[in-house]
Amino acid sequence: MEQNDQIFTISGLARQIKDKEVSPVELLNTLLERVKKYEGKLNTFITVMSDIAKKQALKAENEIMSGLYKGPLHGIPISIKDIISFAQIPLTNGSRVQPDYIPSTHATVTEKLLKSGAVILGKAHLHEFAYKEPHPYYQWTKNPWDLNRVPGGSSSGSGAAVQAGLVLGSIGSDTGGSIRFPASFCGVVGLKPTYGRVSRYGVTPLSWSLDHIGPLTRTCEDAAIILASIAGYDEKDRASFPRSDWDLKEFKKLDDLKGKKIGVPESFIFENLGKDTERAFRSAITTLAEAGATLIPIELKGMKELQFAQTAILISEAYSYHMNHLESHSEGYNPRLRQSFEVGQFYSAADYIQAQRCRKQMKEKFYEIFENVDCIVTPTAPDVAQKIEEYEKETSFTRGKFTYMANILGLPALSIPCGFSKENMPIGLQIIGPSCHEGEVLSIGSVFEQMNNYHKVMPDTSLWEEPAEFLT
Amino acid sequence: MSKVLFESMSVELNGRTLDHVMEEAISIYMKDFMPVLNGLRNMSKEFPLSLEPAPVYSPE
Repeated sequence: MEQNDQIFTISGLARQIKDKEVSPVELLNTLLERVKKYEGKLNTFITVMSDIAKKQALKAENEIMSGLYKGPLHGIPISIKDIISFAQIPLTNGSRVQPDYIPSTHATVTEKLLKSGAVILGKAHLHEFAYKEPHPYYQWTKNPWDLNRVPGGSSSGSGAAVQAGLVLGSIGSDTGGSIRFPASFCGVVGLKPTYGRVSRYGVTPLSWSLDHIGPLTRTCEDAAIILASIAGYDEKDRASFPRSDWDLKEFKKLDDLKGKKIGVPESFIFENLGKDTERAFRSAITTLAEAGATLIPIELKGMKELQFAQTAILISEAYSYHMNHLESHSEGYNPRLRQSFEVGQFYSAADYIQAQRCRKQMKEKFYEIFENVDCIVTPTAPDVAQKIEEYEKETSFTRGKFTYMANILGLPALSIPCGFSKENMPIGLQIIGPSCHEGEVLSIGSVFEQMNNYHKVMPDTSLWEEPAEFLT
Repeated sequence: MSKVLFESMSVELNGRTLDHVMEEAISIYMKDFMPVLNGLRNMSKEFPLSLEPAPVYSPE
């Protein structure tokens, strides 16, 4: 496939904005034109905030022209998933349960982005309440590589919009893989940071003890730039930890991976893996070895049990949060989502505590594994994006064979493109690191990225051309 | 577990109101719920008594 050297990246445009070669206002207008041209087909936003974004871009431009440059997000258009509050803009959660609710204050992550000078272009489409699938009212976000396939979720609008070049980055949430799935299926980078690294204050919860906030971008460096902006202690989030600030210096542009030890849990990975995914993954670990890394076979035992624990915790917490609305606003939920949440009423307190004991036991096992390796690699998903009609026929809520463990264990995990299927669908490589080692994970990912340049391969934009009626 | 038992648990134990959507969902609960629950309980049998639960909202 052809590479496109004209791709927009935050790091590239930040340099040009800083040097006053690119105007934030013109950049925003360019992206708004793309939104107008492609959003009708792709459906990546719940709310496009054109007027607010134009004011933010003008403010950024005036600040930069007067010598007040805030850093690499200054003047950069991004979107935020619509479970994240932006004051005075509807927070729909992708649901018809109180869809007109308007928060009076920003989420902490929104405040931090605005403080960094980012231009928030809109609220990204998502799976309803960050789980399962989109509410039929909002319809599916389309995968830019194949409009008949799912984009991955729940941060679906984030992944698709970044791949389509409608925004330069997006903020998603991840409870069992909801940043990494859309990153993998749309062919972009997605980072789920360490638990507690990024505040969830002002973000609608799915499962308090599993929810994480993180970026979706085109490159690892761009993910690092956003992480440096949004990380940090917040007394308003119970999970936030002291010294959770993250310095961009922790992201290192390495020439190779000499001295790095990469764990490969082969027996865990190769059961029920799609053929193209297996081929791409084997090729990826060969590339990592060629870059100088030492591949170390590791055994991950008890992963199925850990997934049971993750499911019990997630569904119990989600039911607890939604219990009242499931009765009082039942008609507002997609019935399929409602059914999934209702399961939470059947887990006992003892079941929940046993799941937490499993969590503790597995954390200790992973500490031991990370004494011998710098990171663990797996495919992000067992296969490429499904056709939408196939996805809708499934009833199981236990997805996420490779992604859930980073949520229940609170570990940083990255998905980066590592190849394509025969049908030209992107495949993702997951890199999981020890707690608080986002810099290591992103740096390793960046070396892989530079060796392959999959981030420069874009879908055929003619697939998406259909002006969005609401913007014409 | 039978559908009738699930329905009575939902109504009598959990104080929920069954409606059409809920009733339809019972068969889906049964399909997905029991394997998870059984897996969790079988795993728990192997836990040492000294194993405490992970802290719920605090990073470690």
